Amino acid sequence: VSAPPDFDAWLREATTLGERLASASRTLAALDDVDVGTAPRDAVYTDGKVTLWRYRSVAKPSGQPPLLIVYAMVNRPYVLDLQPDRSLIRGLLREGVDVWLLDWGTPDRADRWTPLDDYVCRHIDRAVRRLSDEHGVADLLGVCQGGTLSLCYAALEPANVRRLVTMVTPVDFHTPENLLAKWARGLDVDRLVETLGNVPGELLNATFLALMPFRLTLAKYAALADDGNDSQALANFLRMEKWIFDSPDQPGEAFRGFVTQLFQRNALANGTLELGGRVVDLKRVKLPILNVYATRDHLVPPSASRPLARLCGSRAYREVAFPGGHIGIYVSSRAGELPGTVAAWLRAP
Amino acid sequence: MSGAGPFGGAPGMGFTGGGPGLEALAGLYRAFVESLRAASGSAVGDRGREFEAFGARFFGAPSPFGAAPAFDATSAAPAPHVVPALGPTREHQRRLECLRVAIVRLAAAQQAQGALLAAAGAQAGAQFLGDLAARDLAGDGLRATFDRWIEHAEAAWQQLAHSAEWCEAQARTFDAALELRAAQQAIADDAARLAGLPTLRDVDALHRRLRDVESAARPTKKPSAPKRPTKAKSAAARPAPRRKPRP
Repeated sequence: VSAPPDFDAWLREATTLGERLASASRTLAALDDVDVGTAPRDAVYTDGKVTLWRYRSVAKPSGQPPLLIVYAMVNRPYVLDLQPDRSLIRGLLREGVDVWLLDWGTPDRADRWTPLDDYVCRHIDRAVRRLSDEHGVADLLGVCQGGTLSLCYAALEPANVRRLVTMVTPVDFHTPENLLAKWARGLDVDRLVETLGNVPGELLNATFLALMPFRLTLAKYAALADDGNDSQALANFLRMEKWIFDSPDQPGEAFRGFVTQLFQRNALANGTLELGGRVVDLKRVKLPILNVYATRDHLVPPSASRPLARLCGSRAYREVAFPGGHIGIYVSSRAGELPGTVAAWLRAP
Repeated sequence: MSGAGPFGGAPGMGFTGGGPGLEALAGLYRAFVESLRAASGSAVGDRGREFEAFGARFFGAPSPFGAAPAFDATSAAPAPHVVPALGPTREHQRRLECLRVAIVRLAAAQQAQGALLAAAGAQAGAQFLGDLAARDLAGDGLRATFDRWIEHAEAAWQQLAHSAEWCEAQARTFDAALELRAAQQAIADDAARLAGLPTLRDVDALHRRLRDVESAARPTKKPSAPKRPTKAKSAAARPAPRRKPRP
């Protein structure tokens, strides 16, 4: 026979939790706004809203080609340098990697008609050529949607890239676990873009929260009680909170292209994706690939990333499974291992 | 009577604001129906209902020259007695009608989605309570129970969220929300146009033109990937893709 709860104990616990949450609130209120993306860097050029950044080296150069990071158009790339002790970029710099970042900036109404093709065939291409001009060749590291775009670029211009790292990158959009793709398939994206123009970042945020609403709202904020007076932990929490909700709008036409071609038609996986009037054939990607996926990724399930193994033309394909979620791969306590793994792979013969 | 007669009053005015002759006629008719009701007690019978319906149709119809139909959030379909809007304010009335229909559709879609959510919530709640009943809770703290509830709720949500039924309901709601937004935009655009302000459509058209000019001005790049095969040139006849020279 099951025993009932000790309600007196529950009451005491509730009181303690309430006090801790109140304490966390006071600590948060005392914090100034948090700094993010603080690794020193210089703008190489700006093209419309897009900026190419180069990070200042902090270690002896490894002698390897420079690495261009292509981030997703959803959210900001500073999650890769969220704070000094949780920073993929700083970790790579410490490994002697010459790190460059393609920052999509903040699209506005003027970008409403910019198609997906432009982001791949124009912006990534220009950045890769800029790196190649200086160093002869470049490596690419694509993150999430940026990984998908990097794969497309590598398929279109295979001679321009030496090695490719994809992180939490969707490739097959029609796997059963992919809730976001299931929802996107029912979307009248033409009507969405015609009505809204650019797609508000808030709309995407609401969608992402809806994927796991209880954990990403109630449970997350209840967990603040654990941090109580720990101002450092709460500052870290605030950085992440800032990043999650600091979402740029999505340029309408590019969004339409991405959703219809990839989410709805699964065109990258089935070889029918066209960009700039050219077919994106993953079999043309024969360069070495390191595919890093997160085992508990609710946005890009491993089943969406791992088909790259069979779809690409590379014989030097390697996978790394990161034990964590979509964001934990950059900011969790285990995220510190990642830069070393990536840098070692880039250096490998 | 809240509606307006088909020929009552000046354009833009409702029945009650003009057409005293018709108002008088309507009053007589109401009296007639009331007399029928009085004669047969509270139940007017089929015939009485027919008369009432006729009266509503004739006297209750909004004026095609008058103001927009009264807002009715109970049905997405236009009431059968509403004649299409006519006259100088026709387009404005049409936009308002679209807005009304969009609001109703969104409400219906949200209601359908809410019903699915409520059913899933009830099921999840029952499972959670069943789980609690089967457990020895003497040693479980409040927080642990809260965490267990989150797990149950999330599991139930995942089951619902992945279902085809939910995906369809969600898509319908989203569509309806976009329809409402478009209806609002149409009204706002019209107001902006009348006030001599640029509309969203104007701004979009300018940006599109700017984008086309920029694209035309940009030097074209020779592609290195194969083009999609065309009917005129079979895949076998295509030359091998050329490697682009390194810069």
